[in-house]
Amino acid sequence: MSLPEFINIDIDKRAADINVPILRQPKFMALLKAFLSSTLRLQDNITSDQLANTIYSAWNSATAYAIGDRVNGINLDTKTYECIQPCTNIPTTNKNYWYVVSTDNIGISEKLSYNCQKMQLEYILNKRFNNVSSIYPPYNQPAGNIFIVTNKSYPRILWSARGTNAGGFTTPSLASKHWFCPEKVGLHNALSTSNYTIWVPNTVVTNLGYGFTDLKSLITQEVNKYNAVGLNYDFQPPY
Amino acid sequence: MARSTATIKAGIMSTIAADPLLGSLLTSTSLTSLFGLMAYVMAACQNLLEQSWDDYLAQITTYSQNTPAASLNWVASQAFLFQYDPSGNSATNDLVILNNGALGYATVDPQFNIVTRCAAITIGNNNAQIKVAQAGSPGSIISGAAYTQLQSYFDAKGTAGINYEVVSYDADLLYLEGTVYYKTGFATVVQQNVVDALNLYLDTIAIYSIGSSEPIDYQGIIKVSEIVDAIKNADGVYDVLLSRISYRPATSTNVSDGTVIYDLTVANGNYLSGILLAGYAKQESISGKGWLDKLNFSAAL
Repeated sequence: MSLPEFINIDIDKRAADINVPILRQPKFMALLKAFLSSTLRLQDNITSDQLANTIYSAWNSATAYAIGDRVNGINLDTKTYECIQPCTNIPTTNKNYWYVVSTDNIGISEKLSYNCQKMQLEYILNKRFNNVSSIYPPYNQPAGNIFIVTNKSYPRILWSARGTNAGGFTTPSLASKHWFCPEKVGLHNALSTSNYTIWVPNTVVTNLGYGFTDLKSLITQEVNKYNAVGLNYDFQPPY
Repeated sequence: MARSTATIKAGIMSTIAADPLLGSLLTSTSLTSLFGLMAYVMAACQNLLEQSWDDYLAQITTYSQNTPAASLNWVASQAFLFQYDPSGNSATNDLVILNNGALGYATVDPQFNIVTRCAAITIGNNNAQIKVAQAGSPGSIISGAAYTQLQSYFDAKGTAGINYEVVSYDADLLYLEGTVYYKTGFATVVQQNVVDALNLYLDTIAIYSIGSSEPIDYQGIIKVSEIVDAIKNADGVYDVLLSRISYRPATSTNVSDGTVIYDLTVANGNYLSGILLAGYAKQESISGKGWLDKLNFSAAL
């Protein structure tokens, strides 16, 4: 999908194109640029906050904000705001002080470029939910961010083995039945019930102030926007 | 989020005031100043531009939501693009690799887009189930050659390695018990209003609605909270207290065969939502078990 040309206006060139007496030119240009400042601002909103969605500091009650300062909403508020009246400790819900620049911190370009790559999904989940550690790669346990482990696919039939042999072991249940249990391998069960597992750091759960059950539900809503239908996923308890 | 003309003009005026060349020259506070008028004209044009952008933004946001390949929204959007031409015309029926490398039809003709309902769920590792229906009230089964062609369509369009099972069933049947309290003056119309509101809610599930400002439920999930909201939003309804909500597949014959998602007598263990077998639903059709049979209507005190 092509984007409209008006987002690529070269304001300086447009202003310079107007031929006025040389002595007055700086003032005319300044006036024209002032008149076009609102267009420039829209252009900036589109490229930075709606297509790419720049990350700003989260709103902070102790910070003094000036006109034009931009912040991200706190916790799970996905909006980006711009200060329109100088203020301190005025929450972003107050429309007299804050203007909503964009409603979704996952930019349209980011959505358009998503093609089911694991790292893209990790980036989206971290951008959406993680405000305690890096939202950029690497995504793993040492980095302390949300990451995904693709589960290996094992044969669904295991040979019965005695004792605790590597292939598996049997657990008697009823006298007439035996259950075949997989050996624990690495981070997850060898015979996982899912195609991939999502790991969420405990610090993220604590920071957001939700219980893990509620946060899982919120993350699930987000993952379902991107997950390929037919792929199962699950969660590990917070690490 | 288009700004008002006044807000935009204030921004232009503050830019002028802050400019080192203009700030000391254009100091008039007159409401009829020439540069103020020009700023107003610019602001009015800018306001229209920002409104146009908002409309465009809504369109590309919808487009971007349907873009992630093989995602829920993508599957639904592809189902709504499926074409079945009963005449068997290969140009409108057969998928081909187009000149740009994309998979599509040689001739695109919306009159052959037969799918009107689509919901999809994961039913196991690498297994997807796609529930579809075609035009009807509220939908009807897709069968025969159209069904076979639709299954082939998803086999071709889907992700390699994932098994897509297309199913098409008659609508699930929604059963409700409870009491609706209505406002004074609505006694004669409130019942039909509630039925209309519930049908309106059911018609938001798994439908084709590109550009909708509200996300469409493409999982085919029915929720207690949304049923309550639908009834409360009906004209004349003061409040509602539901005591039992269940739904059953059309192949069953008794209400008791259904899945109960809410039972007021159960303290814990209510599911509060459920995945519809057909992906969409309509009013319970057993005589004496319909919404108006099992919902009591009482004047609010």
